[in-house]
Amino acid sequence: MDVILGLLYVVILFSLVAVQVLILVFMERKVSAWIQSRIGPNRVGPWGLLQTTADIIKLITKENIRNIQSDKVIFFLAPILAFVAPFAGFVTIPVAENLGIQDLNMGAVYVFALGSSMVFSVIWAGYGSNNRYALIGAMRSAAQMISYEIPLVTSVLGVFLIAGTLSMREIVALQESGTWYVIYQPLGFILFLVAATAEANRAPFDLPEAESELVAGFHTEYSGMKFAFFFLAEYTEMLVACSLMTVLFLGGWLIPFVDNSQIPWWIHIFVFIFKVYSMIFLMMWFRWTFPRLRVDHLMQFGWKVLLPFALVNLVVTGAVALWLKS
Amino acid sequence: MRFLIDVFKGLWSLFVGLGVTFKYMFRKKTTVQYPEIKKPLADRFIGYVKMMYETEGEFAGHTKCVACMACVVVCPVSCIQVTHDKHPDPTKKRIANDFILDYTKCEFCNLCVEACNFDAIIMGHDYELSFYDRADMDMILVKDKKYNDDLYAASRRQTGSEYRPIIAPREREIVDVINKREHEERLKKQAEKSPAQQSE
Repeated sequence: MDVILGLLYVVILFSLVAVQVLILVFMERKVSAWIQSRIGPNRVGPWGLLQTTADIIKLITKENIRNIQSDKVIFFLAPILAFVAPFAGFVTIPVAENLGIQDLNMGAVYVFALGSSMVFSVIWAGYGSNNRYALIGAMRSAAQMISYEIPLVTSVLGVFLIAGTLSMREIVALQESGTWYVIYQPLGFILFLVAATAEANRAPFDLPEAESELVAGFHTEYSGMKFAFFFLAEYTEMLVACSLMTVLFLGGWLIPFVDNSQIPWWIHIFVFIFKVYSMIFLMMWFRWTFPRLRVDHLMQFGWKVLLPFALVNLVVTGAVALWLKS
Repeated sequence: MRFLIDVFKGLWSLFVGLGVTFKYMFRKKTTVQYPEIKKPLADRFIGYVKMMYETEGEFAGHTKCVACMACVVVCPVSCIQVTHDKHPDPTKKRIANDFILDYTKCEFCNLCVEACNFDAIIMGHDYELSFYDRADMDMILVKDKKYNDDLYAASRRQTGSEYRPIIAPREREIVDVINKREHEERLKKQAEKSPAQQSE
């Protein structure tokens, strides 16, 4: 029975995430078009809404090309892991009060652990495809993801110190009556936003797939459905990062200054989706505004700016929390 | 202190950049939706070669081309074929019977137009140069001494857009005006004809 229920969860979650990704790709293209004074996709379907669907159908029907010298197993596994890792992170994210697949008491740790395993998929993709650009992209990506993992996790430790729990649902419940953690942890929020953008390999930190330097980075050799999975993975990761931001800093499904127990659950869902999409819009806005960083600047920024600030934030938060307790 | 100012300025520049892109989001879009909306072309634009014809007098509708072969000689890719016949006007000697231009070869170099002594051909403004059949690329500009009316209609039928008058470039403004008027009359005639044909 549990197995069937689990499969059902997976199917529902996958369809939801896939639809979200379709919407996100469409949104990305529209936002980029507006920022560049263009119109964007407007031919397929009403207002071009079916453009991404058509693109995905094209990718599915494409031939599966594999470099003859590539490592078969690793080449095949990389896109699967790339998608599964952020996809599994959705398990702990509560969309409304009683709407989440499983609330683990170590939920946050689970999500960050899965986020770290993304590095494997990128390295596998780069190593397996036997292509120098892919390998350079993968090495850069590994360096970047490992470096930005540290400020990413350190910046949210402040939240856990204040909340005193790692369960996502409890963290949201503690932000009742408008005391969002972004008010207590503004620096932590900014650091998390920057580090999450870097973790999701998005511009201005999109060095692993810098088009002008590395063809397409680690997924140069991929085509068709496998490429679609990397694409799916990028947007799923963004979705997870923005959901995490919403849960940890922006009060999840809660509406500030309102008695939330009186509000029906479906409004909570819309509030959650609105918050997530605002954060995603912010990330897209970043992407189409800022130019890409240089590799050494990227490392410098990660280790010399983000990490010290995250540590200072952690120490100050801990000291204040201790002082308030005593 | 100077370092701190630099840091602050750097951070501020990020927000300035975001502001600029946000403003641009609500600007008027610059995209031209091509097949529906077409931008006006410059007068010197070089498109299809277009044949000129007499618009007044006894020989209206006859080509201006007198088959002097200047264009055939000067053409670097030999894409022009002209056959000639005796001119119906007794004051003139010859007239082109057929004027065929092979667009698979033509490189739009404008040399034939420069060589023409009688302003019989100009470079037109038609730029939709795609065909579904290679046979269509042999454009018959003159047929039986007369301006070939079906030519542009045939090529337009494929792209789906309407039969459009083609405007002459800068130096031949007078010819242009006359031809334009003539085209409009032809258009009217076509419009009158077509419903009748449909009813038949």
